[in-house]
Amino acid sequence: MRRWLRESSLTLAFTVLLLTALVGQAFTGQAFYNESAVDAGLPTVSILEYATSSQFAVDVAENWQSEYLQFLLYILFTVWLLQKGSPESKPLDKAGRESDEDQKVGAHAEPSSPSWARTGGWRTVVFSRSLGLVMAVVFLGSWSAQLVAGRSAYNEDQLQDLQDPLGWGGYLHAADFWNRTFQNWQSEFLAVASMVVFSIYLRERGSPESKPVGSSNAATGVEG
Amino acid sequence: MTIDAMTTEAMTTEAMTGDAGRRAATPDRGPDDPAASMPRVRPSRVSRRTVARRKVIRQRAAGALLCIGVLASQSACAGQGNAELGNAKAAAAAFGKDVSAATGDACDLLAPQTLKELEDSEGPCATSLPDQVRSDPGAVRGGAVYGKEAIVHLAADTVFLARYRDGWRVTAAGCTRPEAGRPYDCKVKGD
Repeated sequence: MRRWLRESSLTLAFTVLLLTALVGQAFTGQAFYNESAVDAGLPTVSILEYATSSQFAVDVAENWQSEYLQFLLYILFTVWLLQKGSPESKPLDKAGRESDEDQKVGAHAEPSSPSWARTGGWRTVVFSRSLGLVMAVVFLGSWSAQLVAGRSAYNEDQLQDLQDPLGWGGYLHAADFWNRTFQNWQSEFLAVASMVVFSIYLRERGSPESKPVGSSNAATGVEG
Repeated sequence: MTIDAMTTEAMTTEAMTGDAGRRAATPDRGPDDPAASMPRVRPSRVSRRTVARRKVIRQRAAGALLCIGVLASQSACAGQGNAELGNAKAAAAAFGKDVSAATGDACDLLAPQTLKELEDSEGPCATSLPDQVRSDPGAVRGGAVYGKEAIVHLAADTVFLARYRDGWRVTAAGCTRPEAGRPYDCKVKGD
């Protein structure tokens, strides 16, 4: 058990942070919602009502979709695009899907390789792209959730303002949907671009996200 | 170490627990063998049931990840309040009927802020409400609920409602269709 905890500590730490942040978002979101409701003389909501409301759902979904889009694009772009000096990039001569030997598939698989890396055919093709595929599915799922929950939350505000609610087509064209989308996307792309560039010149000793402290700034695709 | 690597290691170790496995796991070592000074480690025994259980856990974790978007959608759909639409329509219809027939009951159906605004500007609700809102505005033609807000279209009126702890209350009534993209113009409404 102790060994499992140590070997899974990275996942566990971020899971705890995720759950803590979600709980914090729920309570602060409820407080903010109820402040507005009291100002308007409208009914307040309990924490359970807020956590199952479209307001909470859209605030969570809009963040999740942009995170998974960020990872999807990062995973795909780093197959072909390069950045000299960055540990986030592959070495300059390795752009592309690489050889079966480099990727340990088919006949080049090792005894410890996952079985679908060895079997060939559609299984190996799917497994070879499984990381991007799952990120894409979760991105599309959470973006759809943002659309559904966002329309519901937006229309609740519309009715409060004595305006007609929007249909699906209307909300897809609405500034609310695209403003939520773009404000999340810009921060994700900024984070990745910052990481790619900062890691050329800066170091964090011991982190695999950094080059070794003594590495040259021109060294590409090396990890600490 | 990934779950795949752990499973493979466990299966390899399991294969080594037979006689041949024991010989392979504990080879005879001479005195000059550096490994002779290293402490012996018993190979771990992992049953087939444990391997199968870990496989199920992996599959469920993958399924749970894929369900995240669906679950978020479902919570949003619950907020849309289709179950409450019938209650909102009933409250709007009752309000419309009671405006002239039982004005006191209609006043009780007004949201607190709306009642206050009406009485501050027009006087006691029991006397002012029939002047502001059309009596018996007809049957319900349609409506929608989003969260705790609703809009109900009657034959000759449009009513906005909000859901309180004790049920739906009218937040605005006597509303006429606006220009596109503009709010309804309502005779009775809160601030």
